[in-house]
Amino acid sequence: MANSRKGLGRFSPGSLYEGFTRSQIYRSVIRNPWPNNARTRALAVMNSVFLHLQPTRTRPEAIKITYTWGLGGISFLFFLLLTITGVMLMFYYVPTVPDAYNYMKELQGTVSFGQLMRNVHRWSAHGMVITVFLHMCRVFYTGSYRPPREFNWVVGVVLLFCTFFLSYTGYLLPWDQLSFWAVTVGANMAGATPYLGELVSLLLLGDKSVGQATLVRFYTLHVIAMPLLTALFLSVHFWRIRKDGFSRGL
Amino acid sequence: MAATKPQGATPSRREMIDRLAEQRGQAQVSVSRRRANTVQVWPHLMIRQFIATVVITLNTLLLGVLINAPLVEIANPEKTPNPSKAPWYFLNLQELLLHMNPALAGVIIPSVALGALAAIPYIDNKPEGTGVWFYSNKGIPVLIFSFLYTLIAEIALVLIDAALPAKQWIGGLIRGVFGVPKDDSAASFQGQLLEALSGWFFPIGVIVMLALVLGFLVRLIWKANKSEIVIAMFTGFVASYVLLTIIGTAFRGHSMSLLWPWALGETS
Repeated sequence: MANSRKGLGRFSPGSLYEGFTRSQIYRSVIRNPWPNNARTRALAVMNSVFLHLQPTRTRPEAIKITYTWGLGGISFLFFLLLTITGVMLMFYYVPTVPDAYNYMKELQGTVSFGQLMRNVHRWSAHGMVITVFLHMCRVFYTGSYRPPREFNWVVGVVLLFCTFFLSYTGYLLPWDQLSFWAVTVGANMAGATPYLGELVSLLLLGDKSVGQATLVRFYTLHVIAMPLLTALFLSVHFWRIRKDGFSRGL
Repeated sequence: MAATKPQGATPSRREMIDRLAEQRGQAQVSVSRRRANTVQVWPHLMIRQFIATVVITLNTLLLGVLINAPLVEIANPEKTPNPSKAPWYFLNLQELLLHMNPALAGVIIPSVALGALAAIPYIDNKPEGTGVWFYSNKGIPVLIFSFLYTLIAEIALVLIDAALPAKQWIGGLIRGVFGVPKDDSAASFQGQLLEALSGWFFPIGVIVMLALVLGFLVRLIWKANKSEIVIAMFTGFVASYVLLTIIGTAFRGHSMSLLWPWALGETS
């Protein structure tokens, strides 16, 4: 233990580390003792801004991988990956017609790791849509939507819509033939809304057809509006799990 | 620690349901008794989360290194590619578009689907069995049956519609009943009746009939209760989504004609 080395002086083995961990700088940043026993580990979870969403104790059947396959958590992980790679891409992309396409070419050809960031962004997007869908199936087939968890299921359906919309708005940004016409097909479907069709189409596209207004609109939706909205609903979604109780207790 | 593993072998479904019901009842009991069957989140849950994070991140990175995201020629409003496909998660809707009125396929059906999804917990609202996969003994057979039923019914419908489009035979029926020559313009009475029947009534009728027949069969064969009928409907929805996405991706080629995947050809 640290106290048993009192007589050894300032430069004996181990005292640098202890000196540092007892310094004001260290103790002002890291408030908990090293998490190596039940008490300190519970403290580490409880006092951490990132971890305190979780309880300090849980039931063993609740954390069996074959119960949830971690699908909700993996969806969230994909969301984080998308945010990080998305921010990287934002440094080199501007939503102008037709230069957006040239920015994509630059990202892929000139920017260091640009191609990798774009690829990871795309794969994470596909991954998120798939995992979110599988997560919905898991929650359904385990009956985890029943009272008292009904509202969380509804929040989940809203998040499903957010995921699809995020993916759809992002699809336009490369401004290539795939993007343009895929979005046109989707917008035509939305424009077929009974009675409100023209209004919906104008709201979505910002113009009579897909163009500069659409690109700016989709860019804004994709990089800030929808992520903020999704983060808001995610907060409620996670909070409800703690308040309603995880479906296998705690 | 008394229970870092469940006692004995993996509990059966019935045991699991009983144990969870007992746990729910314990919410009013003292903390120390509730604590008895728990483990620490750090390390038991954290290690699982950490491994999952590392595995998924590395795999995504690997995919990103190996396979490039597509970037074809610059957007050209004058040049429509053929076929012009939506992103894969909307291909199922685009498939529906080929068989019914666009407002029905692209707006009403997805809205109703999302609404029905959101309404599930208000229909199946008894907590018995929550927390167990396929929470009744009939759950798995009902699921398999619903999945196969939906698959077969929808493949049959797509093939029939490809061989004999509804517009054609309903149009022929109208002309036969009224004894009039062909006049399909949108303004004419015949055109509007054709659209109403082939674009709205017939598709809605088919979908509703299929759902009702599924519910009826499940009730008949397994004496399914409300929960199990909801399982059947949800499985039907998932099977539709998956099947229509596969058809849209691999079986629709030039002008969205039905083709074998190897005969799909390039996008022009």
